[in-house]
Order: sequence, then structure tokens, then C-alpha cells
Amino acid sequence: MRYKAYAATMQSVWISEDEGESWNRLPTPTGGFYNEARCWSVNTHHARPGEVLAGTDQGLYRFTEDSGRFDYIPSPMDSLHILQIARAPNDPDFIVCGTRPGEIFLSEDDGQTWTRANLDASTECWFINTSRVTSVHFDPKYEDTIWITVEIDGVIRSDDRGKTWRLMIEGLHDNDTHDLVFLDEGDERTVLCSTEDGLHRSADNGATWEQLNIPLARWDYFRSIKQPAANSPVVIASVGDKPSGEAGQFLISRDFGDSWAECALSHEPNSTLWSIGTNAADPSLLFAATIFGQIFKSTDGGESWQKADRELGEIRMITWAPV
Amino acid sequence: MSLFLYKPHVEGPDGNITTPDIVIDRVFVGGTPTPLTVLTTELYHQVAQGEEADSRYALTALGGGALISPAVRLASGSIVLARKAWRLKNLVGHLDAVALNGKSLNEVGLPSELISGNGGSGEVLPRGFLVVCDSAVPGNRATLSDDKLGRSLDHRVVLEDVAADRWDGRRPDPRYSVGPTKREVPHFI
Repeated sequence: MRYKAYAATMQSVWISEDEGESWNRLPTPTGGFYNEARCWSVNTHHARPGEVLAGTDQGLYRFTEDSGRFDYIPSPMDSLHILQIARAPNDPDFIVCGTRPGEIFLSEDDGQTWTRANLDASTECWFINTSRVTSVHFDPKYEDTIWITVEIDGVIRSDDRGKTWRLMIEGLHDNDTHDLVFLDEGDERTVLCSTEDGLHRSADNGATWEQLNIPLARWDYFRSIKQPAANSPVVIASVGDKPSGEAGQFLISRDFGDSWAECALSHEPNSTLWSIGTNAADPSLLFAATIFGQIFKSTDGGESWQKADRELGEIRMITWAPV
Repeated sequence: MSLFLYKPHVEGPDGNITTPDIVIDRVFVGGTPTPLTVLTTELYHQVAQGEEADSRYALTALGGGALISPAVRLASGSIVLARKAWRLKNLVGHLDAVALNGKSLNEVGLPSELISGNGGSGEVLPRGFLVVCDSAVPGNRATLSDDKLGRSLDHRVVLEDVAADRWDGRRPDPRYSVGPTKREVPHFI
């Protein structure tokens, strides 16, 4: 399987075409945006191999293999930080973007027109001044349901494709939320949420949360949580000492959070492990990045990780996809 | 000292693009000097109900050749520039095949006339200049089409009713978030 890996960094989007060994940016003259563009998010979709959406400091962009460049997508987000991009699993034309300040923008026609959702995220925050969307998820079971995490606000869910939203924070020890994963077993659903103060679990579809006790975690700051395969009980969690931090670790659970083991890392992380990139095309292959530029790769489903020689400065998101 | 930073995607005849960031410090609508504050690339605008906009084109001075871009002028005077452009020199020789919303530039007004009327000559505008044609085609969607090269630049500006409230009467109060809740923190509010 031929694939590319993509890293959203504070110096544009870097792309690896050789399984993560070497990384390059597109040429500035023809790449679509300047090489120091701040990029927070990259998104791929299984239905459109080679297409990448990127959220930057000057708007939303689309890369295709045919064009070989990032093309600007007109939207109301040009002056915002586009921190998160999600596309509906069964409809790549349905795009949801999360920004800083904490707003949600929806497009159901592949970015041609946009609607700003009526999201009542906090408008001021002592800790980070301005709230921001830290993750966006299409519900794996209910296609009209969208989940987001907002820092610092909690978990927010829409059951009507983004028209209305409800805050779901009962039981969260901390509303500084970062990421979500879902496991459906028959009619039973479990949701895990990573926060600044540990991992939380909900057994009632987000209505209430309980904090998990994970003695192996050296720090409370849980950032990215990902399942290598859809609806898998296997979960990889990234942990760090703080944002941006000076250290980090990976934990793996094979029973959706009941028990945890520490993953083997070839090198000590230089900061919090910020982003994990998975793709259902190969659950054994994962990429991850520390916020300060280290890239790790796993070829055994997240059990062990090898650091790439190449480092990239500040990395905000990493992913990969077949091309 | 005022300036406007314009960030167009400049598409060449072969589909390649370049993305210069351009400092604009003089604007003319027709031949009239106009404050820079009329320029924007934001696509969504609140206007009075029934207020209409018109479509135009803009020319921007640039070292590799002046740019031509679709633009929409609002009743307020705001000029909404598309972040898309062609180089004027790629149109020379077939300007009769170039149209704004289907109306030939021969009728709308030729770029050379706009340039010569605003301190330039030929295809060259003075550095930092952006000029907007005076004549207009109705509509908030400006499309430049080039029939010879078979390409177009489409620019749609969304006009929202200034009296409409997207919250439909249920607009919430702004919320203050504490952040990590387990700590004692000073609040500077």
C-alpha cells in the first residue's frame, strides 16, 4: 500500500512520501501558501485518496494529487485559527471545522457554502483567554450526531447535524477537554475523553463522566486518544507533563480503558505527545508527534514506537492516508 | 501608513498558481481615490434587507504583471475582493473573449483604460495601487470568464440581513470559563 503522511506545523504542511523517513514542504512559489504559514490541522478521507484539507492562519485549503498544490477554499474562517477539520465518514462533502475562538463552521457541499453553528462555547477563559475547539468527531453510529471537545469548556454534542448543541460536563474533573473515542457493543456505548486532568469515561453517551484511575500515567495531562481501528477496544493515549511540556509517554489499553500498559518508545519525547494519526486502511500503522517536532511511527498498532531522525519544529497534527 | 494586505491565488494559463502577499496603499474606484478601509476579502456581510451589490473587476499592481480579480461592491461602498486572480498579460490579445458575468470587458471597460486613467500605462500600474472599475454588472456573484483559455474565476459574496438574528431570539449570554477547576486561581475580572 502506498501512502503519504502529513504533518500540520507552524511552518506549513510537511509531507512524507517514503513512510516517514523524509519530509518536505511543497515549493513556496506554487504550493498554495507560504512556507511559514501556521497550520493547525490536516484531514484526509477514505473516499478521496490523496485529497487533504488543511486549516491554516489564512484559511482552509485543499490539496489533491492531481493539482499537486493547496488550493484556497473561500470560507468565513480566513481570519480564524482553523484548529480541527472533520468530514462525515460516509459523505466527504460534509465538512465540520472547529476554530479559535471556539466556533463551529459547517459545509454540506464540500466547502462551497458555510454555516456558522450556534455554538454557545465560552467566550472568555481565565486559563487560555480564548476558548478553542480541540477535536471534532462524527458519531460512529448516529450520522446526525457530531461531538466536539472545547478547551476550556468540556464536551459538546449536537444530535441534529450541528443545528443545536448541548454541553455535557457532569462528572468531568476538568473542562479542559482534548479528544474522544467511542466503543459500541450492541446497545451499550462507552466514550472516553482525554482532559488536562486525566482520562474520563462515560457509559451513558456523555450524560455523565467518571475519571479513570490510571496509575501508569506519569502525568495528568492526557492529550490525544485514538483507536487504531474503528470501534476497537484498543486505545492509544498520549500523555505529557503539561502543554507544551518537556516529557511524554504513550499508554495503550486493549480493553477500552479498563487496564493500561506503557508503550515502548525508542527515544524520550522532548515534549507532550500532541497528536496521533491513524487510518483504518492499516490499523497497525500509526504516526504520532510531539508538539515540539518529534515524529514517532508504530507498525505494530501502537505497542511500540520508533522516532524518525527528522524533526519539524512545532507540530500540531499528524496523519497518514493511502494515495 | 495605512495598508491593506491582499493575498490572492494567481492562476496562470496552465493552471499553475502563485500566491504573493501584496501591500496595497492606494485604492481608486473608477478614477476616485478611495480609503483603503473599503477593501476586504471577507465573504460574508451584513446588509440592509433588499440592499443589492454589484459585480466589478479590480486590477492590482504587481511586479510580475498586474492582476485582474473579480470583486463585488456593496451599497456601503465596501469592495469585496476575491482571493483569486489572473495576470493581465495572460489576457492580452484576447480581451474580447474575457467577460464579467457574461458581459465583455469591451463593454464593462477595458483594463488598459482603467490603468491609464489611474496613473499607469499599458499593463503597468504604479506600485501599491489597486483600481476598481467604475462600471458594474448587477449581482453579488462576480465571475470573470476567459472563453479563449476556457477558464473562469468565480467570486460569491454572501449578503446577510442585518436585522436577522441567527439565534432567532435565543441568543445566550456570553460565558466565562474558569479553566482547570481544581486550582485556586486569581481572576482578573
